[in-house]
Amino acid sequence: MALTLDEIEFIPDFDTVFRDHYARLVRALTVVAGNRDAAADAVQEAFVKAHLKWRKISRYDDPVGWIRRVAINKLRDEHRRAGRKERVMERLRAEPESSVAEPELDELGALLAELPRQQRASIALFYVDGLPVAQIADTLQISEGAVKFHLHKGRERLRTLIGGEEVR
Amino acid sequence: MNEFDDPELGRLLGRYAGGAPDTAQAFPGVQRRITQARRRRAAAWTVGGVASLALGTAALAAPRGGDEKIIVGNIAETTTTEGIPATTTIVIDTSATDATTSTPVPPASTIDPSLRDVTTTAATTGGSTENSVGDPAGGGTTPSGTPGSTATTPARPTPTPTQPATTTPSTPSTSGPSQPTTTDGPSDTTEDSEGDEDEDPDDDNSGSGKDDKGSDTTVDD
Repeated sequence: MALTLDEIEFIPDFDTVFRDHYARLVRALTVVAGNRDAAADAVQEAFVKAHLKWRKISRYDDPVGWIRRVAINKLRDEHRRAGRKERVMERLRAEPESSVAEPELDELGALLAELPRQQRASIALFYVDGLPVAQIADTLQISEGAVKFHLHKGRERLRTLIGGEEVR
Repeated sequence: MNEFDDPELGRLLGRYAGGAPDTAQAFPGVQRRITQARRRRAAAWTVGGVASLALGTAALAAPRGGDEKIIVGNIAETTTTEGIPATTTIVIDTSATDATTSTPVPPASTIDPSLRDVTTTAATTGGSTENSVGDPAGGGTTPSGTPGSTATTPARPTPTPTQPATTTPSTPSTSGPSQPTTTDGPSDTTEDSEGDEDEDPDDDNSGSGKDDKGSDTTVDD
């Protein structure tokens, strides 16, 4: 995502970056984590880290990309830390949290939870955050081909749900 | 348009992601976390600084301590060497085991006669006068000549106290001819002793052994 002149002007301002990108990041990461609280925690932690190095990070081409990557890595680390049991518990806990008492969203949550982590992240960053394939590849530190593969496979799986709805 | 564009899926995922979180509400929380992180970082820096200071001071102090020790060792060696040539070694040679007491600190001038006395006695009588000479010294010498002499001293102190003054004057005259050799001996021994004292660490224990050797040599003489 190319930066506009306006964005470049207020990128150095941490507060502005936070105000402009926090909500977007939390929403995308909610899809990745399956849990709004976990996503918000990871994003806030990433912003804290960014603030501590803001002089350096504000000079990056894409400071928000750095924050996004840090947040996703934090989620990944937490997932790794958690045991299999805990992960299952998180999913069970996350499903009712993430949904707004809509059965189709519960189903979507369950489907998302079954996707491999990078597939889920690719889907979230592409469909929720609106990032291009190249930037997703940069954020997840994988090749663009891998991102495309994940998008293709993920969409295929999720399509079964949408198709079902449509068939309904 | 992208091959993966899917508005329907996008809408569904958008609903799953929920509404936009309240940024204004989240910001104070982030600020609080930032303050905590800064405090943690400051604490870490402080601890690190203190630790590095401690290490630095320890590193600086370590060589100094080593130097001091070395200096002390040198001083000790020099003092002992100084003390030994004057008194103790000579006494040791003459008195054999008895000589240990002879360490008396008194000036060189006084020592020379006593040495002569001792040497003469060694030449003439052998052990008796030596004992007398050594005894008085033994009381005083303990500080300087300690290593070699002290080992021998404990047994001797009792016999010597009365004789020291008497024996020393009497002996010098008799020992005239023999003195040079003996005096040379002591001076040599002092030099040797200096050299030996270089070996002191090992010889300190053997210092008594030296004494014994010295006594043996004098006896031979």
